[in-house]
Amino acid sequence: MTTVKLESSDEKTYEVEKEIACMSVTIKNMLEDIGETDAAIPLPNVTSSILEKVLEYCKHHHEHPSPQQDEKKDEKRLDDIPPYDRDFCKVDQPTLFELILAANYLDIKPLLDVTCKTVANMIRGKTPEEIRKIFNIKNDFTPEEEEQIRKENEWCEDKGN
Amino acid sequence: MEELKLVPKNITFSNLLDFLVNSLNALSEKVLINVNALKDHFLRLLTEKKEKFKDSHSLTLILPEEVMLHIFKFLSPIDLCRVCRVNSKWRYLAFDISLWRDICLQLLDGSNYLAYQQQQQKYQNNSNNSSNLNMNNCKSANVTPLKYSWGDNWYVGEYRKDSNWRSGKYSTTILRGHKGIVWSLLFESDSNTLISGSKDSTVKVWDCNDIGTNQLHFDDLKDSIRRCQKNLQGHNNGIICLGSTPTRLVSGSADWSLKIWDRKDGRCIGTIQTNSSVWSLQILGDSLICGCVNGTMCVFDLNTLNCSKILRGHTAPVRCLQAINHNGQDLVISGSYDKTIKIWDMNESRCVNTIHAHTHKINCLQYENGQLVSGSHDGLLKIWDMNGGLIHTLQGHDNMIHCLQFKGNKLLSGSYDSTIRLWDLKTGSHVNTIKGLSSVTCLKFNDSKLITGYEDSTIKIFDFSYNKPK
Repeated sequence: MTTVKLESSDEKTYEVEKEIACMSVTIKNMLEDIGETDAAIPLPNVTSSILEKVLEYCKHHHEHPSPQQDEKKDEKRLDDIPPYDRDFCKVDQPTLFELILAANYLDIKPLLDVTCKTVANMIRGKTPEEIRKIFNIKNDFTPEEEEQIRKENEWCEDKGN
Repeated sequence: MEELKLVPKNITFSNLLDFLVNSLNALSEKVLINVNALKDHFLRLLTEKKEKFKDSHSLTLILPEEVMLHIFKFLSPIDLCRVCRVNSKWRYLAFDISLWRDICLQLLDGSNYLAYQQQQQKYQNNSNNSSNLNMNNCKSANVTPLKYSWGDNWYVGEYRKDSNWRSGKYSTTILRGHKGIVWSLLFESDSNTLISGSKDSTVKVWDCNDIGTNQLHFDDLKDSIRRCQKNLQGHNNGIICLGSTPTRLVSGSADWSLKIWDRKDGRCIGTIQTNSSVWSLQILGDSLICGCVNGTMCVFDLNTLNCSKILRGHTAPVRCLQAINHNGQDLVISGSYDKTIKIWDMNESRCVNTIHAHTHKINCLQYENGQLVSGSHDGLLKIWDMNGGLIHTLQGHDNMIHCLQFKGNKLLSGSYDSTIRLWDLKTGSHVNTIKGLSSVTCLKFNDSKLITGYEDSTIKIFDFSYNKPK
């Protein structure tokens, strides 16, 4: 079993199975670039606590590979998150967003998809005011602009779907 | 530090050592206390700062735009419309062309695929990065909120029209002028010209520019008179079917004749006598093919007006026909009151297939992309492959079906039961019903307009690009 060493931004080192580490396209490309090495691969954008979670996710999916799905089909579906992934994403908002950033930086598409879907689920069916509250977003529209936008969007409201 | 006493005089070495140790201990304790206080202080500052950060900044701000777009990709159009009301940054992202292009391609029927491609090309030409709208002006979040309106995003317009079709949101305009059943309609989208033929023996040409954009319901006789550009008179009986070329109009009538009209001055430039009433016709290049009440189908040369072919086979009126090209073959399909659909090879002038399609008379049919749809007096619509295999039967109308048209996955049918029904051709499911007061005799539609002719002599124009709410 080949292993690689990964170093988090706070300089903690993790020894990980190469196959698991290579679920990250970024790490895979790095390894291909530098070849065999004993040195730890620095991941300056990922803290140890997030890296641990990411590795936990990769390890689980390495051990429990999900059946190959038709990629295009049902891409937009939000209710198809597997139980493990759903529980995995049950974290506070800062952690969830850091996971998204890590998944994006490390280029782990399944993790990026599932974390983004989780955020999309938080948005789904909510009013603009509710969305602002959930994500602590400041409304920067003037009352006039807001009225104009509301009118502009009347066509898609009150429709049931 | 003031506690550090001066070294006493005459001190022994061992005393000095004790003194030093004591002093050092005191010092280090002091330093330790200070360090701890400092640490506490910094921690407090850090938490305060963190709290403050949380208060004034959304976590969503730390995500790069491409990640925000990835999140938005999982949202429905309705949710996206709400997202665009959150703040200016979200609005800017929710308008992204790529999001709406995907929605259009996934949800819509694809009948406009060519238009999609052209539009895509246009966006790509406008900016090097096709995924964003107006790239030059809106790199940052500091965009003027109302810089974008849905009108700028072609895909949103497409989605919106489709959702108006599905949910039955439209404006209506009524055209009055005919004095009998409106049997036939032609609509030319490019020029917004409508041609109608009626039982009152006239053919009328209407200007439909700017129709249905201002008012939810518009029914004004003066407006109808203004819009009626030409009134072609000459037939002695009702007009049942129409055809057009860029320069000519052709009308088929119950007076056993076809008339050819000059589009410019409305003059009748030729009359073809037929062996019975003409109930269906189509122009194909220089030839004109028509279906007659006596069951024959005749082909005429439009220039010489001579009959070049007669196709015999149907035993009752040929109510509908269409010249098509299927797998490279020039064919004509015809539907008849003898309850069958016949497929004709035009080069060999013979019937190559007969589909016993309905248990009652067939009123209407259309072919497109390998699929054939027929509508009958039995109130059913049937979808066929070209070998006569039945794909779907659509049940819903309470009475005979007079007319149908389909484009992409959108199928519309008009019936004696005074309703127009919208169906999803792919799934065979019923989507929406538009109820009226009179039997629907003919219909034509394009992306944004549906035009229907009624037994009560009116013509109604439904506009689905209408913006205002009901």
